Formats: sequence, C-alpha cells, structure tokens
Amino acid sequence: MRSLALFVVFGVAPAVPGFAQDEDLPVVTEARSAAEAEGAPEPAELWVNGNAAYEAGDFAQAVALYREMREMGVDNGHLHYNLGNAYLRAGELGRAIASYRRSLRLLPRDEDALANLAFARRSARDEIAPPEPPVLLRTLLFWHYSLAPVELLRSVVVIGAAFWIVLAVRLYRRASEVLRWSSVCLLLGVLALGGSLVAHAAFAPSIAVVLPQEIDLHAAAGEGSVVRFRLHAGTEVRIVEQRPEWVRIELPDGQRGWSKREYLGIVD
Amino acid sequence: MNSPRGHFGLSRPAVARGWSAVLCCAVAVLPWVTAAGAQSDGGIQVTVDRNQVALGNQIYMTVRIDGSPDEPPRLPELPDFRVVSRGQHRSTQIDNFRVSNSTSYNYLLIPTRAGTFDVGAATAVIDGVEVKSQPFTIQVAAAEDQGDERDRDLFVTASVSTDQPWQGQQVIYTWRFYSRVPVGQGSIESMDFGNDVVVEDLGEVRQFQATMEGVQYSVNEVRKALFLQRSGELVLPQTQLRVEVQVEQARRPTRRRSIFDDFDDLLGGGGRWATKYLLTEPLTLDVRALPPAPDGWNGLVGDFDIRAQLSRRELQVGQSATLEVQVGGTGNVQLLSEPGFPELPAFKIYPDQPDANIDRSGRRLAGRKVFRRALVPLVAGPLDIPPIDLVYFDPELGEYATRSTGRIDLEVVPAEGEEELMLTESLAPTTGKVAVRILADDILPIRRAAAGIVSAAPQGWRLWVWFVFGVLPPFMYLALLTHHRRERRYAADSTLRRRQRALRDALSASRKVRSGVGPGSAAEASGIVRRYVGDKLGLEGSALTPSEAETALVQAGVDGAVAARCRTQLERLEAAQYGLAAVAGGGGLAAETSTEGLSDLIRTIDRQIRGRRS
Repeated sequence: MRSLALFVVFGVAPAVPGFAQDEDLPVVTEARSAAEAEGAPEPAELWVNGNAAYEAGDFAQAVALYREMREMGVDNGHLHYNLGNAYLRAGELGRAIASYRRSLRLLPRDEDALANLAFARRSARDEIAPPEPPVLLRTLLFWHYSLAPVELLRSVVVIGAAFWIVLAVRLYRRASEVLRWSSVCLLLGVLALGGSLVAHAAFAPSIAVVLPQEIDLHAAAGEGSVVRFRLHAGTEVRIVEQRPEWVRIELPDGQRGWSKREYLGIVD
Repeated sequence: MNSPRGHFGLSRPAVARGWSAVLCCAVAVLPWVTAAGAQSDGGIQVTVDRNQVALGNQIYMTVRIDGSPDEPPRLPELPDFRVVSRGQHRSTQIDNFRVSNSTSYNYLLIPTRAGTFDVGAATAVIDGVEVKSQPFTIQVAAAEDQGDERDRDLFVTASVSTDQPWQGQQVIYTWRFYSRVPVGQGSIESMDFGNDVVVEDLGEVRQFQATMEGVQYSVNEVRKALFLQRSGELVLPQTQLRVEVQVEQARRPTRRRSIFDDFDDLLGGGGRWATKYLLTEPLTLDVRALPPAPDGWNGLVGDFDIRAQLSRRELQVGQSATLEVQVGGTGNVQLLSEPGFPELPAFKIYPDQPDANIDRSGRRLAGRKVFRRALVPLVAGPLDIPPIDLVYFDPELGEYATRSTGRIDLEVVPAEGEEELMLTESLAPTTGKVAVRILADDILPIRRAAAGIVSAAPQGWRLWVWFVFGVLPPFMYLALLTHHRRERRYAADSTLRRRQRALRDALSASRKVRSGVGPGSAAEASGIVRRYVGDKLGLEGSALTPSEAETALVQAGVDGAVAARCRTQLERLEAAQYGLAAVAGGGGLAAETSTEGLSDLIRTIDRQIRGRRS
C-alpha cells in the first residue's frame, strides 16, 4: 500500500514496461521458445504439472517440478510460495520456511505468503524469535521493507528520469519554484530508493533456516568440536560467517555456533 | 466611705486577694502533691460484679491499681473464660490534704463452660515493686440448671445436620440467635472451623419469628455447609456473638409514669445500651473414613446424577453435533469434574469450555456443570455414543454408587460435497451468543497464475531497456546543459559567436558559390573570404582591403606566405569583379572561386589561427 502510494505520488508506475508481471506474457513465450529449442519441458508445462501434482497430493513430485523450474532460471515469489506449500505438505518444515522467506523477498507485501509463513512457524519446535528488523526501523524505512529489490530498481530508474527531466526544464524556466521543489523531492526519492537498493544488494542480512529435525551447533567449524547447543527444524537464525562447508549462525540472545552448510537453508 | 472589714482586720478586697493567692498556690502545687501522694501509696485490687453466673452471661471484672503502674496489670491464667478488654480510666482523690490517684482496668469475662474456677492473683509493677491481688473463686452454672433458662432474653445455639458424617460429606451447620428484647448492632466475632473443614456460606442471614414453649423470639439464623477433610473426632469450636442490648433503667416506684416517658420509649431513649457477649456450645463430630474407592471416583460425596444429550441425531459426514453432558447434585460440588468420555474413533472431537452453576442460596449446597463436545462424524452409517459413567459416594447408603447416561444412537449419511467443518453449536449461558472457535487452521492454497513462470528480475532486451532508460537521461541532460551554456555565452558575446561560427559559415557559403570567372562569382568569393577573416579576427570583414587582410592575418599569427596568398587571391578576385580579367590572370580564377579553392584557403587560414592560439 505504501509503495502504491509512492507510485501514485510520482505517477509513473503504469508507464514502466514490465512492471505488471502478471500480464507480462511475452516473457513466457520467450522462455517457451528457449526450452523448445533444447527439447526440455518448458516452464509453463512444469508450472501446470507441478500444480496438478500438488492438487493430487503428490507433494514430492510437485517439489521436483518446481525445483526444475528454478534450475531453468525462473525466479519469482509465486514459484517460491508454491514451493513452500509443497515442502510444508511434504513435511519439510525448514525448507518450507526458507521458501516462504524467499517468496517474501520478492513479494514483500504478499499476505498469503505471510500467513503461510506464520502457520509454518507455529510448527517450529524451538522458541526462538525469527530475526526481524525492529518495528521502528520498519516504520521509518517503510519503502525498504515493503518494496522488492526489482521494484526499487524500477522506481529508481523512473524517478531518476523524472528528476533529470525536471532539471532540464529548469534550464529554461529557472524562476519556477514548483520545478525547484519538485527536483529536490525527486532527488530525495532517488537517494532514498537508491540507498535502499544498495542496502538490499550489499548489506541484506543472510538468514538461515534449520532443515533437519535436529542439528548440532559446534563451538568451532569441525565435526570434532564441542556441541554448544542444538536447534530443530524450522528455526530461523542469522548468518554471521560463511565458509565453503560451514556456516556460523547467531541466535537472538547472541549465542553463536557452527553448522554444516548442508543442514541449513540459506535465504540470500 | 470605709470599706467593710473581714477576718483579721483586713478589708474585704484584701481578703479576696489573699484567698486568690492561696488558691493559685494550691493549683500550682497540686500536681506535685498528687505525684507525691501517688508515690506514697501502692496496691492492686481485683473486683467482680458477681461470682456466681450461668453460662451465656458474663462477669465484669475491674483491676484497680493505686498509684501509677509502670505497665498494665498481668492477669492470671483464665482458660475457661474469654477475656475482653473494656478500657481503663484514672481517678484522683484528695482526702485530708492527701492526694492519691488510681488506675482501673475493666474486663469482661465470658465463661466457656460450667464449673467452679479459681481466679489467681493479678500482678502489677509500681515503681519497680511487684504487687499482687487476692485470688478468688467464680462459680459458673450450666444454662439448663438455671430455673429461668427459658426466661432468658438472649441466647445463641449451634447445631449440625449430623454428628457422624462421612469424610467429605456435606454437613449443615446452623447457628441461631434468639432474642426477645430490643437489640442493636451485633457481629459474630469468631466462627472459625480450622484447616480441616472447608466452609461454604449458604445464603444471607435469615430472620424469622419462632416460639419456644410459648415464648416468642426473634431469630437470626446463619447456615453454612461444612465439608470435613479428615476422619476422626473433630471439634467445632464455640462461636462468639457481640451484640448491643437495650437495658431498661430501674424506675423509682413512687414516680408516676408521665406522658414524656412514652415519647422517650418511642424515640428509643427508654433505656441504656449495654454490650453483651454470647457463646455457643462446642460441637464434637465423629467423622467416618470413606471405604476404599473404586476406579473412576474423583472425590464426589453426596447425591449426584449425570445426563447426556446430542443436539441432532441425523447428520452428514463432516457436519457437527453437540454432545452435552450434565453432571450435578448436592454435596461437594466444588469437585465436579469432567466425567470420563468414551473413545469415539469415528468422530473428530472438539472440546468446549464447561459451564458451571453452584447454588448457595438453598438449604444445602447444590450445583451442576455442563460439559460440551462438538462431534464431527468421519464415516457414514449408524453410530452410537456409549454410556458415560459417574462414580460418587452416597453417604445415605454408606457406599459408592454409579450413575450412567444412556447409549445415544445417531444416523450419519454421506456428505453431499467436500468435508465441511462447522462451528460448534455451544451457546454461552448468559449472552446467548454463539461462541466462535477456530476449529482448525491450514495454509493458504497454491498459486496458478502465469506470473509463476515469469522471473521477477528483468531479463533479455528488457534489461537493456531498463539500463538505457536509467543511463540515458543524465547524458541527455549534460548535452542539453552544454548547449544551453554555449548559447548563453554567444548571446552575451557577439564577437565570440562570430569567431566560433566563422569557419562553419564560410564553408557553408563556399558550397553555394557559383564557380566561374564572371564578376558575380568573384564578388561572392571575395565576400566569403573577407567575412571569414573579419569574423575570425573580430573585424568588419566587408570593409577590409587585401592589404589590411594580410596585415591582420599576420598579426593574428598566420604564416606570412599564407597571408600573402590570401591577399593575392583577394586582389585577383577584386580585379575580376571589376572586369580586369587580364590583371586577374584569367586562367586560375575559376579554380580560386570554386568551392574547393575557397575551402582550402579558409581551412588553411583557420588551422594557422587555431594553431597559434593553442
């Protein structure tokens, strides 16, 4: 809603090509053509078959088809959402939560994904609050937490173009106060959205979700190290360090431990 | 006039002044005399208003200490009396110029049993010296021994419904206060039954009239339900009532009753008020232990029953019906708990909050609890709900009893559509509103829209569109800015504008010149060269002679040969312009007026000037 208000203020969202994904059928055609050229099933076919498998209760098959779409390069919030549902039905709580989180990174305002994530979290065994930014921060930087990175990128481009246009008009109408303040507002908008985009790209916290029913968290990166504590499937933790085979995580109370990478679903 | 004389020959005013002085001195000295007198006397004396009394009456006891005691007196042990302090007062006497004071401590003794009791010595400490009173004896007669027992104005009684109850059985304790004289405020000061008894009040204080052997009394009754928690002998202690009683004043027999006495009675002033304490007899109960309990007994003792009903007997698979089980009766209803529901594998079962209702207003403690279950059949066909048992101990029979509900049959037909869970039909007893409960929760369904096969990030040519759309505007703005600034500079400096555009204008004009040897072509070519030189050097080009042009070019840094070539060409063009073809040299003129010839000369000069400036 906030982003919608943001777009209404600047009045540019409908004019941006590719902004409305649901009606973006030409991309579907391209994907289909590429798949046909290689003789592989096309994404649309995988999508339909995955949904059918899910409806038929064959959740393992649904997971396989959705994952095949991912390997073909299809990456969107709806796919992660369906994948999360299939994982949850298949009993893989950790992977389901990781998929819902990935879905929310691409569709941060998706109420269905939020509801299903909350449902899945209720099944988690550990009483550990998932890593979330403070409410004050989410309120002050609402655009950062309510716009997906691609939406931020498009907003920066559109608002940036509007900013340059207003600057150009000002060359010939320097006395206009409206143009002056418009350029200031647009510049602030570009800086805010651009900063948020940079933060998403460079400083977004990596979250990990425990995948097996129970894992050991070691004091050091090694099987022989002391087991400091144990976590259970579906627990979300913050990643503080990554190595090729080991990942160091941190709990909300500051406790840290090392886990093998294969035991964690990492939400980048 | 002489003043009157008094005693000792003094005048009356003088006598008055003398007595005043004595009086003042007496008042001033009095406290010291009093203190001295108090120090000189010392003693303790215990008195009672009577030493023979019946149970239910009380004795006023006064402890009088002469002098100033250091602390209140210590009373002797009085285990057979309840002792109530009634305050103290000090008094001062002057007798034969001896001043003495005393302190009186008043007590009320309420006998708790009949008998003859020795009251020991009370002690007090006066100026560090311990003094003791004389012991005495009090005789307490039982109430029934008094001939006028039924003539008593006030008395209290206590009784129980049974003196041989079972452990956990409800025992009704009834306390009554009988009075036939006006009484004021009263309060029960102790009705404590100890930790082995659970007490439940049964309603408010009841008031009624009762006649005992022809005498009518006003009765206040308090009822309590007692639940005895252990077996064996249990003594319910005495209950003490404190009440204000109006005592009729003794009248002088000789005085006739006047009309004002009637008004006095009407307004309540016909007597004085006195505080009276009344005690009940202690009650001893023989509590019987319960026999070994069967399975399923959860502590209920009394008379109970159980009933069950189902809200609907015919329903579809997936629809819900409410099973309502009522458990109630008289006895220790606080322990009413959920009976053991049978296993119902053919149903989904959703429990509801029970409703409890305990009635404390009757003569016994009674209550009822309603337990509800929403039952959703999972299969079609004839189903039944087996009987539900309730086990309790019946004190009348002295054994455990079991009550059961009947078997409930219901018919379940297949569902018409998919399973549809319905909300429970339980109704809150007070509001009549349906209590909405979340029976189950599930995830939201999957997505089917084509958006699921489109990557969120732009790809292919769309990525390039976005890239260009993002990068192009700043470059376009910079280009526009540069153009705008140049235009502004040109507008502010016309010489600069001419110099910057000299080459372009000259080349443009040279492309339009008509090549040839005629005067027209020569004039055009001459004008183009001179305008170029003028624009480039900031001069008026059309007025330049060939020599002036050469000089100006040399001054601008142009090589002398090039400047001379320019001068020579201008001279030849001028000659041709004015018909002196021979002077102009004929054959080469066509080439010099051609576009290429002019362009070559102008470019050569321009390079020289720019090279010099750079």
